[in-house]
Amino acid sequence: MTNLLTVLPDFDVADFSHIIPSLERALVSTADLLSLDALDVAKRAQVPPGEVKKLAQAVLDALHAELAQQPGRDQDLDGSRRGLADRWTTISTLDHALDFALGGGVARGHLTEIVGESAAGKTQFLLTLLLSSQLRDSEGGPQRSALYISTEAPLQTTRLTQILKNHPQLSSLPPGQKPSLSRVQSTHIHDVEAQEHILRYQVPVAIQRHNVGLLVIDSIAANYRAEFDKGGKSKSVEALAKRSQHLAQIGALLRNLAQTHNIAVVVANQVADRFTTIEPSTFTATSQSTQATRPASPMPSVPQQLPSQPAPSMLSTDDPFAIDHQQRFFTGWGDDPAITNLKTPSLGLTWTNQLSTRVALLKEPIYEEKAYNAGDERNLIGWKRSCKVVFSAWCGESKTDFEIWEGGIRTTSN
Amino acid sequence: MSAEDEQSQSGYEDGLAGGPGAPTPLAGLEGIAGLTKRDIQLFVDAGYNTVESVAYTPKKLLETIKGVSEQKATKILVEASKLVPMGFTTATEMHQRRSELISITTGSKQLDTLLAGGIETGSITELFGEFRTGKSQICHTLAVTCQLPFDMGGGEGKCLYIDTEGTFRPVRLLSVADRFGLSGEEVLDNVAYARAYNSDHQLQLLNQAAQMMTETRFSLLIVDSATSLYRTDFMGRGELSNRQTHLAKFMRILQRLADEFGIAVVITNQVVAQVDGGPSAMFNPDPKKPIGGNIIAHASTTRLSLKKGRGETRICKIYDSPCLPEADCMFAITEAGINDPSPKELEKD
Repeated sequence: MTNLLTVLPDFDVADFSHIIPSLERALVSTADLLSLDALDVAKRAQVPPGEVKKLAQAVLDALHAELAQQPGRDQDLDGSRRGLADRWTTISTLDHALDFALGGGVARGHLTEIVGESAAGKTQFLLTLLLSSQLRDSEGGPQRSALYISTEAPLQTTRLTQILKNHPQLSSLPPGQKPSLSRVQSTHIHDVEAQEHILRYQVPVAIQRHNVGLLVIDSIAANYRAEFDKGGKSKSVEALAKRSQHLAQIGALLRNLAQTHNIAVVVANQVADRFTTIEPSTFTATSQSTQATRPASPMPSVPQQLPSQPAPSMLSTDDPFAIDHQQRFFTGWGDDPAITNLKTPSLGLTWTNQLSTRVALLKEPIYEEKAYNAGDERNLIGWKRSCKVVFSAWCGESKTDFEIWEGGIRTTSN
Repeated sequence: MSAEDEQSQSGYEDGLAGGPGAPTPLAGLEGIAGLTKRDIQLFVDAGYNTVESVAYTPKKLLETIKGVSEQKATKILVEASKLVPMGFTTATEMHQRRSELISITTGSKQLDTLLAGGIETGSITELFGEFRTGKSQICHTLAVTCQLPFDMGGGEGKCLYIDTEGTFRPVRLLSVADRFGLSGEEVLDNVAYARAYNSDHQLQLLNQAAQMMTETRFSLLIVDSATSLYRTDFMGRGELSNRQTHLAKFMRILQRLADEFGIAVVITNQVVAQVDGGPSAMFNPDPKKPIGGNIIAHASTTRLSLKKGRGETRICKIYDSPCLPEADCMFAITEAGINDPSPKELEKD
């Protein structure tokens, strides 16, 4: 079956090995098998309908069995609710205000994305998580380790040591409870194929072998951006569709890993610049209004009134349901009219749909306050960073200012 | 900690391994998860004799074996992966390996201190700034210092110089070589120079570079500049997306070379004045920005911004680095390459 493997990786196909190749050739998907009449499917793939029926039933049973495995199903409602609450654990960012904004930290069992431009602090955020994920929870369970998969620069172990040494919450721990570099497992990936291979076959084994509590991918986009060639017009659509499919599969894989092993999966994402179309709406709006007002009011005061019309600037396009307008609500950039330098997380809407939480790390330049001569460059003296929860399944939107210091990241008071 | 280490190591021994490092014959998988003798034979016939060889082969390749379906390929991959040691290493081990990584001196002590030793091998360092800020000068100096012995802050390896702007001047190398007491002729022999004429050519050169690196030891790859050809080869917004994908590909290969051969990769980048920075930009222009957009920004590990100072001095500022704090320092361009500014020039500032 074309996608039976991704839907039910553990499904035993031995009994159906005689019809599956034919179904595959006829491009029958699992959804087709379950939703279409067995007779139609059998006709399409030219296999005996009885066997198709049997297979459909087996797939159905397997899907049901997977549901039944979920904890708390046999218990009464209260019990199951308590079970869920017990399962709810988070990984602290080692900063109270950030933890508060994130509803306790990064949640286990979910897929979280940290997105930001270069030098926004993504890697710093992730390095802190690598260490804090090893901290014992209140019950003092066994220390869990962390997996770090890098696709850009290899793991910065010197920085990791520095955070470990300088962060008060970490350095004050007794040696036995202190997070250790030896509980961070790391690997480096250069292409999409290796990425897929490692995520699908090696990571699940590693999670079980090392009692992993956190999986970090820094960054998910690097390989995709280089490999899916956009080429010509027709090719670009094809490549994009292929990429979307790939992303959906990786997303499903990561979510599955997060849920079955109750680990936090955190991925970093890169950004792309956002291009506004040369606002045709504003142009037409102004020209229409000038034409409309010209005969009615010949007074020269008309041009002065024009800039006060706020309507066109509210909508970036005519259609409020267009992605150009909607994206400001899920990308993390664009709902604040003061920011001119707009970014968009790469990998698009398909990837956005895979996430439980998106955290955007924003940075704004701070310029030296002084009188500049005309044409002079402004003097850049630093960056103001903030951590913005764009959307989340468990906490509200918020924006917290933070800075990077020797001990990782911390919030700034103002 | 050592107990923990042992625990993590012991995982490897659960399998069927005949000893540390000894490959496991594929027949060991027979009977596990419904893999039959016939299945195993199919893989053996295709040349996969050990569990390791299967575990590290992409599924796509395994599927091309005659008689192997997607199901079977997946199954054997899952089982094989369970038995072999994985590609993961602990951060402790990485830390050890990374502390052995050398840094190549820039010729200026101040600059070396700022960079915690010099240009790091195994990663990409980007230099950007306006013309005349010393980008190419740093490249020329590095082309010589990378040949120095380890104890002098060098990399004991050859240098590969990809030039896209035609600014390479061998004469400059000679004067730098004099300063470090190297024979000028040898220094020039150890610099492999290539001129790239268009962006495709530039990408192609990297394949040849990889080949050369397998033959002799290189310690440095310079691309001066990485983006100038892209500026002319791709025009306007219509081709922007193509340009960025091409650029991303180029940067991926650079990163791969840096990892595989442990070389330092230095690229230079041009800057542009921001023209669409909003209404405030008209009165107070923003600082010049490096080109190549987010692709270059994300791909380079360390980004250094260069600015003109007084006289021969230049200012280098750390713009992005995973482990260095944001700071700046001064250096000077002298006859013999990059050096510390003279105390007199420091005072003037």
